[in-house]
Amino acid sequence: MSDLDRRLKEFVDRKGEVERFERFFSDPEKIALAVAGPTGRGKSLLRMKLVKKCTDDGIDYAVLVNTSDNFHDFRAILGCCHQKFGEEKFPRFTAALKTPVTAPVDVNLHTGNIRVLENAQISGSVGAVTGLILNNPQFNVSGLPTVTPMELRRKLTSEFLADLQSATVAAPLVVFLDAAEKLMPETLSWLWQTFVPALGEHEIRCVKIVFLSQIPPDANSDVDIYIERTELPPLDVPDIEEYLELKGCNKVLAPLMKQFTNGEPLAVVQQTELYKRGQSGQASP
Amino acid sequence: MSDSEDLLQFQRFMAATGPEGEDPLIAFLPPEEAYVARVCAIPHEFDAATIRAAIPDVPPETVAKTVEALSTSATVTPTASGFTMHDAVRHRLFATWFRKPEFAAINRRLADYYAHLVDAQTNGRRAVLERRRVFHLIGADPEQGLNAVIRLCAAARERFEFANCSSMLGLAHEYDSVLAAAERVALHYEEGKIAADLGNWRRATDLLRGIIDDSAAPAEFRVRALNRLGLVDDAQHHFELALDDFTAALKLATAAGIRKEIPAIAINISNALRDLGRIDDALKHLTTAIHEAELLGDEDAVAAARNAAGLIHYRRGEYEKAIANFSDVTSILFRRDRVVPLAGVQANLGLAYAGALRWTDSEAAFRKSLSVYQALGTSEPYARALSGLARTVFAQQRIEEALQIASAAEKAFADTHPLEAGTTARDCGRWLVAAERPDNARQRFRAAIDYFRTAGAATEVAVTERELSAVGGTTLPPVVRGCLWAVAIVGGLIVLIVILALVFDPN
Repeated sequence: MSDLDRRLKEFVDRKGEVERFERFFSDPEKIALAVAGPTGRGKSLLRMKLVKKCTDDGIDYAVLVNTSDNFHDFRAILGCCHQKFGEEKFPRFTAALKTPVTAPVDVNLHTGNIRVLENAQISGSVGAVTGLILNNPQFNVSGLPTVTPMELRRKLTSEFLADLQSATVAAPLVVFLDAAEKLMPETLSWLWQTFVPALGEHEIRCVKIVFLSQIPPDANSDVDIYIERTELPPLDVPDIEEYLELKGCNKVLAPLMKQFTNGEPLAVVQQTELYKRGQSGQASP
Repeated sequence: MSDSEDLLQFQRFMAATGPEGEDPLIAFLPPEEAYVARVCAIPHEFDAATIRAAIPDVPPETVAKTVEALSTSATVTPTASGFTMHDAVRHRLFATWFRKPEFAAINRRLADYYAHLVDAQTNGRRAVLERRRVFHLIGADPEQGLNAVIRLCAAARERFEFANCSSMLGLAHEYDSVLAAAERVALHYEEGKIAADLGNWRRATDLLRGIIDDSAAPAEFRVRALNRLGLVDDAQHHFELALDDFTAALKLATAAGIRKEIPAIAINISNALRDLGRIDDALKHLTTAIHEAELLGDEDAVAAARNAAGLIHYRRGEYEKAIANFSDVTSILFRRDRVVPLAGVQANLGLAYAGALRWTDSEAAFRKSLSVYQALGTSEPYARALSGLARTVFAQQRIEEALQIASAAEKAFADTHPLEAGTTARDCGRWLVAAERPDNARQRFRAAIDYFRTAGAATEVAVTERELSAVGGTTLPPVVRGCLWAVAIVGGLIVLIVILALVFDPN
């Protein structure tokens, strides 16, 4: 049995969430499924269950799991689509990845020199002549990047969307963003204020995002029409009964377990394991 | 066992354990393996190789066995390159390490381990490994580790990698309970800077105000926080507030003898005074800044102060004085091989020469500036310098060249700076009017209006529409214009028919 199968064997309840995912996947209006729940609520296990479902149903998917020291940015999100759909579908995006956003412009200063305004009077006023001030040259900067991240983000996103609009894609790709509360604020604002609305406005429905996070996305009327929201509830007594049975424990313990753990899946798993091992006589070090 | 016996046993078990027990695998592992499992909670991601590097004295087979056992735990998730513990479990285990004598040594070995991996990487993963290195460096030696974090943050800020900075600072906070007060202040100060960089003024103000109001915070950080708060207020155009902050920073720096901060503060005071229109006072503070910077041998500060003085003279129309200041700055920067700021000052020099109507010098200065920006592919300053060059070239009556350069500037501005793109397009329109090419002029004016609308600059839209209508143009779309023409023609025909009907009325 694979590690994933073993983990999923212990998966109980969440039927509502799986059904919600099915509805979300087939709803052409929705682009993102936002699953919220505190730590230990079982978001990652739900993600594994949904990934398994995608595999079984032949749905293409990509998984991006964030950790405190390894988080994904907009490039990782666009990059996984780029990779899954195939580089050939993204000529503009691929080109933009390889070149600076603003390539130096070739300015030929020695052509087309037509002399006009021979007698023009140019005022000595600064504003009229130049209109340009470099207020604070960056004295503490030893070298500048080719472009700012803001420019890069904007450029790559627009090229990606342009490619995706003209690409023929057989079936949607599901991108799972797990532990998304660890994404940087700028990535989150890019996702909800730029990327998802742009997919919506351009009627691009070949990317579906499953966003699993301790913190739900902020309510925003412009983007909410594209988001299916759900909050993962704690386990209820029947779910705990099912779990206890799966683990070979007596299901009559479920109400007490619910009371003791508040139905938090992580606590249920840990306490069941401790209890089982205690019963089998293994000593705690 | 009957249900009631089971229940009773379970109740006893509940009474004996807390609601948040240890991970069951750790609780029931033999002592040596449990120790290894706890070590797995020190890094954010673990595998057998990492743990072997952390505790080389433990037999490799014990490490391998433990990692394998942990990998089956419901609280451990496989990743692309190893495993991660569930956050809640990891944090609990990690916190138990702080008082243990071997914690520093384990972290030192992990920092060295990641340092080797960093050296071997050239791609995007390098940043992840670098963060891991400094995270463990803090565990090994908080002062050394935090200094490394601050250094890396400074470098990342220069590359606008704010997410990288935030992540490093977030990792450093995992050690909060064992950091000294001054070290926590240093972290908050860095976070305040990042918040300001990101334009998150409220967060920046809260963080910096927290340091200023903390009487236990070292004076140097309070001075820097006051100075930074002034910049935050200044960026929001709260010049009076900014002036108060800078003045308080100067007072505290003087009282505490922190002289190295004085030139920067004096320059900021001068900028605030300049923005408040108190130009003479602004120049006085720049003189102080230059004097202090020269005493300290801080050539960067001398250059910054002279550049600020040059800008003031420029705004007052004192172009020769501005040229003198900017020229001094270029000498300093050239000597110090500070290529990028040198390009900025060359552009300023281009402006000042233009103000003095010294077009050839202006063009040469702009070209020097452009050569650097072009090599760097830097977009915004490059576009600004191009725009300045276009105007200088136009002033030398080479209109086709000027149009070509301005068009390049407009293109460079278009994506990110619609207001500047609009101004540049409008310049082209004006030059085309002067060249008696109204069709082309109308086209540029219309483009300018589109840019201004994108920028939400209503006044500029109105001004440009007036200029457009002066050359016989309109911003109405072609379909609407066609309809208006059709209505006018039909209306005219009706009037004509009525007149004819009246003229030829048989009655």
